[in-house]
Amino acid sequence: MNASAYELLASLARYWFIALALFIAVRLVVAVLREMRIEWRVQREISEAGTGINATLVLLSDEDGRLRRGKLYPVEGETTVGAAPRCDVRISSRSLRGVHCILAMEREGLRVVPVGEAFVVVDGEVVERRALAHDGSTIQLGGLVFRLRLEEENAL
Amino acid sequence: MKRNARAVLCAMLALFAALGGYFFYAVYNNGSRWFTTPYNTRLRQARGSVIAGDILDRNGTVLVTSAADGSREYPTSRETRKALSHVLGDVQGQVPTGAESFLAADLLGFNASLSDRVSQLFAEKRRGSDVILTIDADLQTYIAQQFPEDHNGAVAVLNYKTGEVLALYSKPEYDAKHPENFAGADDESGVLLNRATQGRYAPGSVFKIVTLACALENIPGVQERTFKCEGVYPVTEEMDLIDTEGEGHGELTLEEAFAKSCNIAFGQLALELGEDKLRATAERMGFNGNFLFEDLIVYESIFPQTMKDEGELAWTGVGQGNLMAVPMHMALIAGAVGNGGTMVEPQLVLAVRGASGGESSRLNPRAALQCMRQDVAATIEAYMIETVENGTGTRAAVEGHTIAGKTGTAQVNSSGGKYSPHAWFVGYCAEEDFPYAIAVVVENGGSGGSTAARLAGKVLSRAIKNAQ
Amino acid sequence: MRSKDLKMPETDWVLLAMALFEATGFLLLAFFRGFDIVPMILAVSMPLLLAAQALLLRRAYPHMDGYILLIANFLCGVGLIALYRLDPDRALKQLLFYGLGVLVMLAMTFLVARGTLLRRLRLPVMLLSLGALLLTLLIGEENGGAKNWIDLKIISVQPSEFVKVALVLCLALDLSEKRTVRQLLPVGLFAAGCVLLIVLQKDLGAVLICFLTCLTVYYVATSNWLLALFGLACAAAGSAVLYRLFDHVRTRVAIWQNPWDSPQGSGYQIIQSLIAIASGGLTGLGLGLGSPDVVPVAESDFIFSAICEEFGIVVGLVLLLLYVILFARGLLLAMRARSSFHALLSVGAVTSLALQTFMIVGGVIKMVPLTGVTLPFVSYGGSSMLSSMLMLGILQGVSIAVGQQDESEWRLARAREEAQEF
Repeated sequence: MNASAYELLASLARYWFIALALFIAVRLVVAVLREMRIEWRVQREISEAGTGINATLVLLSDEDGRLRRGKLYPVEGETTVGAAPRCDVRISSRSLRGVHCILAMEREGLRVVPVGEAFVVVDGEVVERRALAHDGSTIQLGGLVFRLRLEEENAL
Repeated sequence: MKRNARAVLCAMLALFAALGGYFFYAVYNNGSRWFTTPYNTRLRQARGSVIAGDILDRNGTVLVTSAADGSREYPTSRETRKALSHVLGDVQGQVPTGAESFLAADLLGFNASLSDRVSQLFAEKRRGSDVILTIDADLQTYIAQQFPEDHNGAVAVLNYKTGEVLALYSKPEYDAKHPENFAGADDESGVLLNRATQGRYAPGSVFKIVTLACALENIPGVQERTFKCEGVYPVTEEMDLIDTEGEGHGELTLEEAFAKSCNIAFGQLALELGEDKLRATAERMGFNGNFLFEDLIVYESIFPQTMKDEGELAWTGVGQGNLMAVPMHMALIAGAVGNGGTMVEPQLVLAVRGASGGESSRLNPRAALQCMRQDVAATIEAYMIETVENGTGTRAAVEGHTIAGKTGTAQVNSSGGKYSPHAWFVGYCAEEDFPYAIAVVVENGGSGGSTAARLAGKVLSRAIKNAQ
Repeated sequence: MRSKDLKMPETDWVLLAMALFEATGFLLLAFFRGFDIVPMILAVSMPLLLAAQALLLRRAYPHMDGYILLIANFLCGVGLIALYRLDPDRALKQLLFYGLGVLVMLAMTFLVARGTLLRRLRLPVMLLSLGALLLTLLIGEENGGAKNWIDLKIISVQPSEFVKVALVLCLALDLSEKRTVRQLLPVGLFAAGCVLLIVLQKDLGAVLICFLTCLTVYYVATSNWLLALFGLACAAAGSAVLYRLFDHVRTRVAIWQNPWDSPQGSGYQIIQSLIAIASGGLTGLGLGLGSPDVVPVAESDFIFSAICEEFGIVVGLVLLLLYVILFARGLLLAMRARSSFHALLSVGAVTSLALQTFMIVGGVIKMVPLTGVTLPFVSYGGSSMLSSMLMLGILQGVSIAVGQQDESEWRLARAREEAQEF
């Protein structure tokens, strides 16, 4: 093939490349946007239906006695508990650290992970790294004592 | 955490939007300049394998063509060749915005259409496209003949309705056929500089067009005012405003002050308007702005960003001080007055003719700037016509035609009287059929009313004759 | 809604277009410079490789992100075309690394999707990274002002590329569970050590990427924007110090500000890059018709301008869009993730890749000072290819984990709803 024939081919091919590239771009953008909608719908449905289990912390006692007994703190997914405003569950108590612990719903129960040297007791045992709490467990965070309530959501 | 991830997503999108936007903007704005730099080896390589196209003027005269071995030939007379030197430029790109390098993409066939490529499928050596310029070679040669000997300078002529550039003359010239004579010429001599588009001169009184426009737009009833000129007007303790006449014009209306180019009256107007308003008007007319047009680049004219004192402001109002103007830009401003306030984009390429013969027009008239209100333009036009009929510009008159104009005599340096001033004339033919605007600068040519105006008159009359 | 709706919408047409693009590119190259059989083979095998991955992997692991997979492989393909046009030998080497990269990606995917093994690998990975960086400092080779290569006789390795991956992994592991200063000390020290060692190597592009990735991951994990801002300020101060300290940083910035000062000297690279892009224009000069080899190191740092010259700015912009889609998918994944570990992993991987892309593309178009980093998936370079593929593996692993979780929870929700309807 001589040089000018290749030149013609190559200069023709560039339009083909551009057409393909534009096609790829448009199709991908459309597909990704549609995908995003689907994913969000799934997420919404899941969160509307719930994970099946509602976790709630019920306050049993407070060292300072400033907080009302029986107050409810719902736990959703992965939740940080502490005194700092950026926590998902904020409890203003002097016995809590800024971020005191992380709670996460898992299949077997509620995972409790203390942050740093935070004082956490689950069912009478001081937690060093992580612990699993179940329905009816007592959880002590600093000077606050809670009872964990796990309920099947939409139970018949 | 979800919120933070969303923030990262937004930041990423913004970053890449900026990247894409900048990318497109940079290439759109500077692409052709990047391409035509002398450092582009592609052009050098292409010159080896492609026969560059011809360059023709608007009447079909071949200005440059390629010999069989690919070298460039100039079929015109020596005189025409030299007159066109800066328009055509050179293959090496020493004259940065000459057609040979600035339009290289067309000449070397980088923009060739598909049919051109097909038609040359089996050619031994490819041929680039021919470029037809808007330049009138005859007019340009005439300008070179009429330009005062022993003086450097520049002339720009354009059609102020379509933007076609008819002539773009810069002196000193060089002879493209004998590059050895000017190759490596130092910057001092400025042989390679196209003064019409890149030369910066103090505008002198031609700047009064801008001051006048500013006054008409900002001071109600200024037309009915009278000014008293006694030749000298003290502005600050060190600085007096002096009129060229020295003795003063006496009582003047605004129109007379413009026609007689009275410094006192315009200095006072500048003081009254103030620096900011004057700058705003000047910038609306394109001062301090880059003119990166598609076919040519006009360097920016400069209106100073800060001023020392009232004295400088007064002198700026009459076109001195630290003002700098490019001849082509002043021609565009004059043309804008004739075009009802709209400045057109100058165009240098009329059409491109592919190797297979198909000609496609490149002329694309469009507005570059909206300089002034239509009624202001009409008033300035009347004043400029008066200037040519009864004022300082009488020598620019063309028998049987209405010419509007303004002269300028720009002091080169205030301290020594060693150099005589630059002579300026800008103006246009105020007729539908001959919409030609012109700017003339004769370096050290003395009074603008004599040398520059006379040359402008001759050139305009020739341009009108050529159009008939 | 049935469970089918959980799967990707059809991307077959996109796959076809990508395959055609690659096939045409290699076919053209087969006739470039006389007939050559190797690109002919590639013209068939590359699209097949692409299709195999897209179809088989997606069938086997329905929760892999098909878009990310397609885009990354397509980018590799385009890179190979551009490389083959520049230098066939290097392209074949790169092909090897591409194949290796796919395997490495799969390994990383499973590592991340399973998760448990990763926790145990944390310490070895940290030590290995620091060791490799130290070794580079001792016996490394200098290349363009930066001492970031180790020559291992058969191949040369650029450890800083892999350290990026290690950083992303360790940051995500530690930041997902620990919050106090003392708990974060090890990973903090590790990150600081990496950054410092890379600074000593004078590999400033990698420094910026690592540092900003750490900051972003830290911010996302803790929402502590005050400290993140403080980090940014530190970065600014640090760059000022580096600017004073290192000569070649000053030159780079000076070149960026005005390359036209010395068009034949220090500004040569960037000017040639700009000229190449401008020569291509919107539609490009055509594959093989430009002269991208004029730009120094066109095959790695400046591959984007080489592509723009011959394929045109339109294709260049489309490639940028593909990168954006890839990164956006990664971040959307992070938003869907249940556990912070997965979210942080994908944020880290995306940030690192995105910064790298931005810095090199911005560099070759003179938007930001040029830092010698590679364009992920496209540029020539084994280390770069493998590390990009590892990042891709991280994203795919997260995608699988998140997808499985989504599906099981969604099934549960459906079952619950149906039970209620009874």
